[in-house]
Amino acid sequence: MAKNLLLESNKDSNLTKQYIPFWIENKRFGIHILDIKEIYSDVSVTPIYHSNEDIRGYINIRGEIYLVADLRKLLGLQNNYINVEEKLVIFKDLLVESFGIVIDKIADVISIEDKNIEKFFTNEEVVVEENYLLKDEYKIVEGISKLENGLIIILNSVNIMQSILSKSKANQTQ
Amino acid sequence: MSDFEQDMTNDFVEEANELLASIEEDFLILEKQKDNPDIELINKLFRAVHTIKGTSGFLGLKNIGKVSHIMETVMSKIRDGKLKPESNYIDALVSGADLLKKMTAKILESNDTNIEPVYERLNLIINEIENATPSISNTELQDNQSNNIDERNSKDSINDNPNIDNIEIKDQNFDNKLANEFVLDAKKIISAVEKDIKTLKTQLSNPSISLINKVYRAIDTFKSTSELLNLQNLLKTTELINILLLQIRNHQIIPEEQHIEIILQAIDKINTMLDDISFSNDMDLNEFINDFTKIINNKKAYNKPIIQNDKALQKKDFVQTEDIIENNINAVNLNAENKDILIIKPPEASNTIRIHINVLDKLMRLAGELVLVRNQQIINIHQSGGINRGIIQKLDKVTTELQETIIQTRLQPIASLFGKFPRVIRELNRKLNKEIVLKLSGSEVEMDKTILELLAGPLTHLVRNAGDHGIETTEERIRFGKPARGKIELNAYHEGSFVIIEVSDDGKGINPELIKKSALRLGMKTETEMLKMNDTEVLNLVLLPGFTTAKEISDISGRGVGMDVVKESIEKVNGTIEIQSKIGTGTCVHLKVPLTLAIIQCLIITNGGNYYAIPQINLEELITLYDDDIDNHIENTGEQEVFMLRDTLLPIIRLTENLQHPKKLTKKNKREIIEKYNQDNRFHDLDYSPDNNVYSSSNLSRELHFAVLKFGNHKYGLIFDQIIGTEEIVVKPMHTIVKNLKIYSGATIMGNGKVALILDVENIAHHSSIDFNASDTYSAKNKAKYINEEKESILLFKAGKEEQFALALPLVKRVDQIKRSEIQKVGNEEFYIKDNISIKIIRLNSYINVSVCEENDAMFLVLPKFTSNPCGILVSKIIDIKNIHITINTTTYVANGVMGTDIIENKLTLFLDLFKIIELSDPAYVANNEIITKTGMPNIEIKILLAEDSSYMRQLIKSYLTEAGYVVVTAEDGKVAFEKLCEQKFDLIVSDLEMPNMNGFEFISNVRKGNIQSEIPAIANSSLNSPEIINRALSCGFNKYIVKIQKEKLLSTVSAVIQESLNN
Repeated sequence: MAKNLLLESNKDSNLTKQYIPFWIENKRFGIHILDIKEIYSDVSVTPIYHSNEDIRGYINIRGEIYLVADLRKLLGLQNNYINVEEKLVIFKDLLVESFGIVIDKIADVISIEDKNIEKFFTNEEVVVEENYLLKDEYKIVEGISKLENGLIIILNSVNIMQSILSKSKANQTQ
Repeated sequence: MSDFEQDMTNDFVEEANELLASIEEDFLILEKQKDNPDIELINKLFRAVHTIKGTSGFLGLKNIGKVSHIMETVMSKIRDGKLKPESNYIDALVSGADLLKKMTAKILESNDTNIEPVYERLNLIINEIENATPSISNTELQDNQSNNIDERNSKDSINDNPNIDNIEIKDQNFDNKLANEFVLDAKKIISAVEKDIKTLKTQLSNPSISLINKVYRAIDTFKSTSELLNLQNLLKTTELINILLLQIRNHQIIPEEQHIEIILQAIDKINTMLDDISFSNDMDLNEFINDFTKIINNKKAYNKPIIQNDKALQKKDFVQTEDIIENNINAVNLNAENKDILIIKPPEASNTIRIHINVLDKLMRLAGELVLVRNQQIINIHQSGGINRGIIQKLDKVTTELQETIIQTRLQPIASLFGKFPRVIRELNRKLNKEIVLKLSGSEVEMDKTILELLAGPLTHLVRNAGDHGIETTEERIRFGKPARGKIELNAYHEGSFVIIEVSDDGKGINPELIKKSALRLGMKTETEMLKMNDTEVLNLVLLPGFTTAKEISDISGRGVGMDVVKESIEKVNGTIEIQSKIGTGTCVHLKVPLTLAIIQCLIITNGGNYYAIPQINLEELITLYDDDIDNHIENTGEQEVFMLRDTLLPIIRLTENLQHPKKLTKKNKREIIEKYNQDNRFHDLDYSPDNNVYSSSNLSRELHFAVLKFGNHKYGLIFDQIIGTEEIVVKPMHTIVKNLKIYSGATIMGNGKVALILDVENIAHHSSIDFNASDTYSAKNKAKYINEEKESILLFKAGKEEQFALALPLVKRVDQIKRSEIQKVGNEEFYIKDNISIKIIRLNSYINVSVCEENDAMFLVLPKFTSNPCGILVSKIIDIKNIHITINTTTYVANGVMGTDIIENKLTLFLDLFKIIELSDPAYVANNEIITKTGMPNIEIKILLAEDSSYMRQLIKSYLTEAGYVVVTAEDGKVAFEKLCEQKFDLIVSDLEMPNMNGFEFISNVRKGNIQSEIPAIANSSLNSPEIINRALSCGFNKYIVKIQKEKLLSTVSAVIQESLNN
């Protein structure tokens, strides 16, 4: 029911939504809080060989098996160090069954007004092949917002799921 | 149809199906009872048909109503004793039941279904009886035929009661027990109704339609039973209540207090009647009835029937009131979950509840989760220990019970499956003109509903097969001294977590010979394969697709598409099937089926630190190889690693490699894998010590584990790291994102909390590009020989301090241990006496440029075979016997007496030419045994074709022959030899017998049979030495037979044979 309310009041541009900010590779991202099922501390994952490189594997949370994906790989970021503070952000089953992504560090919930989020457009002259941030077809990035201490890139959860799904289907060449 | 109509119809269909399921069975039992029909059974059937009739009327299912009504009439005749349950009557009733089933299956078309034939048939029966016993009035007949709901609900019909059978129920039939039961149930129903009516009172402005329907249904059932028991007053009262309710429901009356009041009064009257049931009919209710009727007629005269069979009218009625209904629907939808739980209450089944399968599935899942959490907690507690154990034990116990109970909810007795077989047997008896009796036992055994449904087809097929192929005709049986009636037995029982179902018959059994013939005829197996099979295996051939022994196809069986489908269905539910049979006695088919689907037995293994599960059903064997066996027994064909498992050749897959290649393995991948694991296998058991830059033998034993997996008819071996154990696991499907990864068939959480991936055995083989055809068609033994070709057994030893020597083991007779002190010197010679035989001692350094033999107290003598004078080589240390590849290098070190060198265990090893050394040691020997060379034919080139698969032997024998002056062309097997024979001209063949691709026998036979050099002289040269082999060789076409390795014998024979052929 809460969701219904929010959808309706989207028309009102003064609406404030809540986001969970997290860091990957020193870049700050945010995801709409209502898209998130839970945040889990343990990241011990069973690898699934043959899967895409952006799939980390399976994890057992309270008797349920969740798939874990690597947002880093999806966003085309390098993996340079092992982070002890890694956490899992588990999405709700919005498009496919619930699954989680690994993130470096998490921060407290913040509220951002819709009007403060600037939509992201690609500049025709700038063609960056492998950077998924800029690829229109994935539309993972919803926009960017300016906070007191820096920028935050707002991501679209459903599109994250969609792109992981599309990539896995594309690799079905067996 | 509105949602309510839909619901009601669905309810009706469910209820009718339940009733119809047992109706058929009951009819057949009734048939058997013939002269002494069980009155309880008749009543049960009557009630069932009656209920269907009643509700179908309400829903406007005209045809269903008609058929059930006429069936009811026939039933009532039987009940009265006017009709005996003879076969033809029961047949008609059963066909009526069939028709009802058909119509309920396609409920919307039921009114269009042609019921004439069945209806007429039943009608005829009634007419028969009518004409025979004129006591039943004709008006009744007419009334029975008009089952129009309109009339039923019209004001006039109340008084005429056209649908009430005016059959007199004699007092004896007023079963007291029945009445008591009825009263108890009725009171329950009525008190619930009373409550509901009072609730309705509070809703007068907006009455709940579902509540009205609920009350209506209850009253209706009550009404039917009172009709059955001929409780007229009760009947009238309830009818009135229902009419009023209908009017309220259909908005033909605006509900007011007075309506509720009159209904409550009616309920009071009913209660009074129930209290004294036998006098209920005597109560005077006329006034009350009149009052009631007035109220009903008060608001509107309703000529318009409430529900007509005319669908257009139906729609119109409901369209007007649709908005109101919509709101009510929404009101009901708020309790959406409750939709899944419906209460339907025929009087005798008030302690059951209907639940939608989805709810049960969810319960099952949650139970599974709870089991997993409990498992984790158990492990947790074991580590922490102490106080919590008591609590954990309780948790354990409760969880187990909960899981078992929930599994039980999905369980249905197998009786529901067995139920239809009496009918099947009856049909078979008719069609095949046999006498078969069906015996069912274990009907109470319960199984998961889904599995039951999947088993229905296979079981039917098996029963039909037993009847068709198994049981003989009555005459045959009598002739064989068997009881005239054949018996088919269906037996079900629990065994562990499985249910065993046996279908057995006492017929003529399955003849293994016939099976073999058919299998050959259909090209399914070859003669040789059949020779290896035992009887059980032959019998199970019938499970192959396309198999049949029938020469003609009947419509009962014979198409050859039955048994393999049965097998497939059984295996789909993770079950197994086995056939046992004895000729003349009978056949028994065993089905073993697990209790539930989602839980399977698995073998848990680890590989690369991760856990994997292999379903038990795919697992055949587990094998562990130790130390050198690892290198020696896993061979490769260059592209595929294989393992010789007893008689079969098993392709080998390494799980690690399979997992690390996301794409299907190419031939190149496979070659690389083979290289990676097979190179330098000599270094495998060595530890490298970087300090000394030395390899030394490791003392740790190595282990290699692999599982023999099977799917369909194929088998392969999978190499992995470690075996953990077996576990019963809950299968979870793969996540959508990784669903396309074929090598996994699911995932699970194990007891230790870790996620294990379930391997798909077939797809792993597919991913590794295993070519099963290649391994199946090769003759196993030949293949093995081919692979072993390059390996030789050699004896490694040392004499002096420096060099390492090797001798081909076949050349060695034995090795004796001697004491230095026992060596006796005679002149320049040394001897050793054993068993009164003096063995001449040969010191290698005397003839070859090698270091002096070390002198120890204990030394060895290596005695060669086939020497006329006993001699032995003095050896200081025996190192080992190895079975390895050798390639003799003839350039590194050249000397007389040394065939060549090779590197074994990182040491340069000298391969001795034994005969040369013996020659060198005994010049007299040489003189005594004339080494026959090409004497007498110095200018002629004699070309010999040497066929020998062992490369060492090939080189050795070639060296003897070349030394003697012959030109030698070698071939590594019979096939190559044959090809070479076709290409070049030879004077002589010297051939081994045991070779791959084409052995010696085949080779010489082909030569003799063919027209290329078919007369060429041939000598068999083999290590085998039995009369049978020798005879066989000679009869195949060899001229002479020599046992390996006798150099002088070989040379002399060669010479003799050549001489002879030249002289001819």
